[in-house]
Amino acid sequence: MKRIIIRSAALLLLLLLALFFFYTGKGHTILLDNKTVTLGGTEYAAVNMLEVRVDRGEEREVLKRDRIKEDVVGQGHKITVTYLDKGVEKVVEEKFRIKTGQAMYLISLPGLIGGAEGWIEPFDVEP
Amino acid sequence: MKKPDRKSVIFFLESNAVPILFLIIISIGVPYSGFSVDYLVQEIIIRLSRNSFLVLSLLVPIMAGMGLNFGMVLGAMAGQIGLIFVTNWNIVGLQGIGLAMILSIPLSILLGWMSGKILNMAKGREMVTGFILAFFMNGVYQLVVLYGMGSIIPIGNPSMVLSRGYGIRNTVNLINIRQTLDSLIPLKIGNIQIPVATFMVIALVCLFIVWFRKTKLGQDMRAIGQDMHVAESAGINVERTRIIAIIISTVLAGFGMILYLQNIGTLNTYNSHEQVGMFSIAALLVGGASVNKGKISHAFLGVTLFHLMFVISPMAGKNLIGQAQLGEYFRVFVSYGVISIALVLYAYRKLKEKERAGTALAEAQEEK
Amino acid sequence: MNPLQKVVEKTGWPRLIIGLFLLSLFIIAPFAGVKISTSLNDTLVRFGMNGILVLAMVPMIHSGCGLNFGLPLGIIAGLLGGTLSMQLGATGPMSFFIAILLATPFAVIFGWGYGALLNRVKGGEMMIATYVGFSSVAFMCIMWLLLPYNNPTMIWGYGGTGLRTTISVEGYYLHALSDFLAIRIGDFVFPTGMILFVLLLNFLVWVFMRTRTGTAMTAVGSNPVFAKASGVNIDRTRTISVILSTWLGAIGILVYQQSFGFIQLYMGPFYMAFPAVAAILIGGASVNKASILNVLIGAFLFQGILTMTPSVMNSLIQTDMSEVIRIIVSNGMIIYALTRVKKGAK
Repeated sequence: MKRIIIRSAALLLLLLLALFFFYTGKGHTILLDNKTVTLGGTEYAAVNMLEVRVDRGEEREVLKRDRIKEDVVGQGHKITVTYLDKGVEKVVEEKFRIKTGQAMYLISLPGLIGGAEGWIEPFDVEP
Repeated sequence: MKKPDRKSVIFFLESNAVPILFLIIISIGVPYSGFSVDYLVQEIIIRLSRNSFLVLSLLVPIMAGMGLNFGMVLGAMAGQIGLIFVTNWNIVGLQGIGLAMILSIPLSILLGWMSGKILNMAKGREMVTGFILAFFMNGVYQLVVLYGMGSIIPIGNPSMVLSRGYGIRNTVNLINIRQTLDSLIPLKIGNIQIPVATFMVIALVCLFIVWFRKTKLGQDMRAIGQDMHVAESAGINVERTRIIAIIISTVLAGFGMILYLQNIGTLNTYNSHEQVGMFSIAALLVGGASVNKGKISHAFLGVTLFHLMFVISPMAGKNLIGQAQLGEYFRVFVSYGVISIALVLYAYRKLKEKERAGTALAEAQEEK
Repeated sequence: MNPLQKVVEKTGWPRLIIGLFLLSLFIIAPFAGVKISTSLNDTLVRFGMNGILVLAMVPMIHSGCGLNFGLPLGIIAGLLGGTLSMQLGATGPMSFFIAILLATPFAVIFGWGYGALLNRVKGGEMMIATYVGFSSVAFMCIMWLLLPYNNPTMIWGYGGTGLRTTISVEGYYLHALSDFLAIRIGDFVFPTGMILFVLLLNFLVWVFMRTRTGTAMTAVGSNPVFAKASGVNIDRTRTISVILSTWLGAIGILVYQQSFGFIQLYMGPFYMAFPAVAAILIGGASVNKASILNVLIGAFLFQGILTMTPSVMNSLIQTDMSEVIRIIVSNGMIIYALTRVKKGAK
């Protein structure tokens, strides 16, 4: 009896560990887009130049009408965007969570800066 | 101080013939290879971190008297399947390595159990059976990976699947987990990088083996290794214990394969596992182990010597005779030669013992 | 036990499955659009090519040395004979017989050494045989590079030294046997000479097994204690069987080459023992018992599967699974045989 308990406990632990690894280790691709978009009826214009950083990654420049790719691990993330608004440097910081089952997300940086709903949305490459 | 008498010197030479021979080959080869000391030291450290775990996985079945576990290849296959899934799910970093290991466990246990069952049916010829079993399971592995994956087993990552729509490609890029363990705790002494975390994992498995030897199960295994019949009459469940020995070896081999591949960074889906058994076994034997005796120190010494020879022989061959190809054939020959010699010595001694026991028995009967 | 169970018990499950598998392949073949005549022709040719290599198992199994996984050693003797015959400038079918002649001393020397080794490791023959085969192939890889061959058809062209990996035997002993008395019916070619040669050697071994030495061999294999008591020199008898096996391996590879058209050096002979071992086991032999009938049936069944699976499978499911099937069938058969050995028999 004791043996069965120990064994099933070990099994359970292993299973939990596997799930933990799966969720925390799942890699996602995030596309960062600096294009003029219309979200919820409002138009958000592309920003001339901005710098973006996801989690503790390096700061990357995104030019107007550009799109870059960032690989992230796990579900909870933080995005930091630095841009110039009429000569004044502004910083927008936003936290977001993504779903494990979704491999790719598209973030519209102008939408994020403008505070639009749906600045982040799942993105699927058509097979 | 006691003077070392001639007998003990001869005994030392005799029982360490293979490592000594290797030292001689290497000391001749190193100057000819033209490699710098730094390079060679770095190379040895890489290879120790890469291969030790695999070699250590061989020790438990030796303890149980089952010889060199050629069936460790089965564990390597399980590890590879774990890695294929992890890559398919895009699990990154240490979590990827951890998950691949966990995934390999049930597969390794299943394969090890099957392997143990079969070896129990072939007592006394475990090695040749394990050897053929590795070939056989390679066929099954191909059936699963080349035909089953992508058709029956869903593989979502199209870059891993062959263009015909099913089957895994010849190489799987393990970029997600590549050297993540090696570089977890970076340490650089002079020009030499030391993968501390990997060595810590290896130390862990050494501790496990040391501890395991002292457990009841480990003691049982050693008893079986000494004499199966005596152990049986002492109430040890021989068949079950032997199966467990093989299962442990298979599981460890699976882990070892994952560590090995995280260092290499690419999985050759249909070849990576094939050579691993032979090289691991050769390395262990070069370290001074034999079919019925294997220590942790043998594994480390063996990996060092064997892989040093591996590194230097193409260049040494090129500089000595002008053909790198020759050096490559030489190292293949040495790998197989070492295993042959070890097998012959073991079988020869066993036969001699048997004959001695036979004559002793005959004499005892005559006296009656 | 009813008769059906008895038959199953006697033939063993794997053999039965393999037999049924081949049978179903032949039945399916016409529906899959595979021409029976070509399949049968290929099977026959491959039967001839491999027949003697399979036969090379028999003497060692008889004398209790187990399955001859060290076949590559014999093959190397054959390779030496073949390459030397070409080097010496023999051409045409004559070069084939010169090759056999030249291979013989090598086979005897190798076999003698191999036999002497196996006598010292009784009980562990098979594993050691495997590795003797492997190491000798690896050793010869070095030798093929270094030996002073200089026939331009055999050595690397561009200023390199050493022999090529594959050497064509065209102009030498290509089809030396196969074309002898060959019967052509449409695209069906019966390689009479080769088949006759294979049958002849099989017959000779059959006769040999009934001579004094041959029966002594069987006695040593089945009951060494009894053999010793009746005055048979066990070690000597075993050595003879190993020499014979090695020599048959040498001839076997020459027959193989004359049909195949190429000499494969370097790692070529590496895995050649396994199909031969599998074939004789499929034919009904066990680790300690084998007959000429096992050789003939086994070679035919196994080669039949090897030729039929790719063509039938290809036309049925458009994929070539034959390689995987070959691996599983042959090694599965060997494992089955290894696990079926009765206690006390080697």
